[in-house]
Amino acid sequence: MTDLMVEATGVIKDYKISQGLFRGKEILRAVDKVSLSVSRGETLAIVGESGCGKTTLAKIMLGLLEPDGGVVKLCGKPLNEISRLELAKLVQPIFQDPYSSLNPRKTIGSIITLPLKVQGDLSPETWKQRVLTTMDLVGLPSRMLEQFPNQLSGGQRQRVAIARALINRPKIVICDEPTSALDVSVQSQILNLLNELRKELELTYVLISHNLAVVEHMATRVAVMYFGKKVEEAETEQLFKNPKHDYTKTLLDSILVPDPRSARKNN
Amino acid sequence: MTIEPSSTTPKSSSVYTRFVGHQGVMVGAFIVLSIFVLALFAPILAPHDPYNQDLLARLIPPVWDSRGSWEHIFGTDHLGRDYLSRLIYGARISLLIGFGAAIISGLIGTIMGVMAGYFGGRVDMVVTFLITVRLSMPVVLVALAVVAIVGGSLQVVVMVLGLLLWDRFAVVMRTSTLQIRSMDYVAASQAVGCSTPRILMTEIMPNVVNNLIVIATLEMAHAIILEAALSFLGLGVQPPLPSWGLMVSEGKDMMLFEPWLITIPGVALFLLVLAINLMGDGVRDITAPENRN
Ligand SMILES: Nc1ncnc2c1ncn2[C@@H]1O[C@H](COP(=O)(O)OP(=O)(O)O)[C@@H](O)[C@H]1O
Ligand SMILES: [Mg+2]
Repeated sequence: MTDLMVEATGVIKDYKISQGLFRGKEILRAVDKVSLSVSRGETLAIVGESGCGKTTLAKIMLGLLEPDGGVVKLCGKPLNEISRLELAKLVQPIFQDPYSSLNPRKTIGSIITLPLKVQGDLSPETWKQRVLTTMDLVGLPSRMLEQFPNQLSGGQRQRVAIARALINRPKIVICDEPTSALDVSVQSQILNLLNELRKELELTYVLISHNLAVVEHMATRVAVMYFGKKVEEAETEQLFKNPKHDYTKTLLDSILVPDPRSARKNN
Repeated sequence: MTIEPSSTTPKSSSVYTRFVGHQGVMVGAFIVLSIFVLALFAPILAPHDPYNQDLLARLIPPVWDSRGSWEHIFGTDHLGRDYLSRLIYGARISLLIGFGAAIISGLIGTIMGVMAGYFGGRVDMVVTFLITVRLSMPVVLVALAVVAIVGGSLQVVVMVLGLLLWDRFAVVMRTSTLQIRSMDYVAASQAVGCSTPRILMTEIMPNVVNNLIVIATLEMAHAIILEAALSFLGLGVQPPLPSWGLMVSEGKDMMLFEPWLITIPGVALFLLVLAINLMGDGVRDITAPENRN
């Protein structure tokens, strides 16, 4: 038994962008030989500007996209040797936009029940109780069971998405910018909830974000991506104190400035 | 842990109340339902046998004409058959053609469009090619040619129209599937372990079905009009079956002196097609998830 929960080696993903019917195809390398490892109980943050390949990497680690090169192992087992249902119990996503991550035609109850139904390993009588327990765990009142997503606020929707991800008690959760579509006032509630759940359920997180304040608050380790490549990886504290790569320095400079005027004086 | 207040009130107005509140749908549904009842109970409701010829009572005008009588409310045709009875039996043919063609073409077009939109790549290329091929064929000409070769009958007309009218289904289903497929809830259900058929049935279909209904009503109306056109040209439903298109066709020689022979089935066709379209528009308005509040 290994304590390495996620182990990605040399992951490559190319997108073929069609230039039109009779012209050739251009290849865009969205993820370029990225290697990562996350051990049990850690929160690895992946930061980088928009379009640098974070979501693509997340989808590869979730088994939603086939990489064009490299291997991803979860709990020591290569992704392509893990069955669909086994994989679902191992790793779950939380997406950025809670307005697109819930089917508008389904009730909250049936959205959260779906993972139980798909796994089909429990007697249906217990489903409702488990759904209610999980809703309570993420701070959703039971009266929302019969409501539809568009009757909920963004923060409540994100809680539904978290409940759906956690009801089968996965080991790894990949959060792709879980708060960047939410109001600032709700962001910290969701982040605190994620942190509490991690301790309570002994989860391992991969947290994708371009908000360095979020990363500093949540992560134990940080990987920095730039144009599809991983340019730096370090313990969170170390990275914030002593960034090595030029891009990381620009990133820290551009975001961690509480007062722009004082920053200008320092320069 | 605190909960943010709901953005909207939790009370939801049911589909039923929205259905009843929509005037267009109500009018459309009323007309379609009436015609459906007429068709269903034709043997009870028709005052005469629609095939019974009475050469002594030919071309009697409708009751509102000074020469008309209550015996034949809508008059009689050139063979002395009761026009109201033929109209009532004709409703069966029109509805059968409309539903039949819409179901066949809907099945073909939906399967092709959803597959193309969901799987993309090669599947999409093949489907897009087939749609282009289909769109480059003039429907009426192809239908005419096929019916002329195979011979006209109710079954042939339904089949031919069903096999020709799937293009709009395919185009619309492809686009809407493409759009829904990129939603995170599809990715989430994949991550949760759903099989592809399950995703298609529970995540994709419920979100494209309102478009499907709208196209189905359009194509139903389209098929009814095409049947009328084919029958008018003598290549659709064969006499003595009382199709509305055939009635217009048989009346066209006497159009100048006995105009009701054309206006009565013409108005019936117009009303049916209008009502079906009203229903389609309403279904689109009502089922949009944004309207649920
Ligand atoms: N389905 C796709 N087809 C083609 N290009 C894509 C696709 N998805 C993402 N890309 C491109 O790949 C790059 C990385 O995208 P993404 O992983 O979404 O970045 P991030 O999540 O870091 O913002 C971007 O340049 C984006 O335009
Ligand atoms: Mg992204």
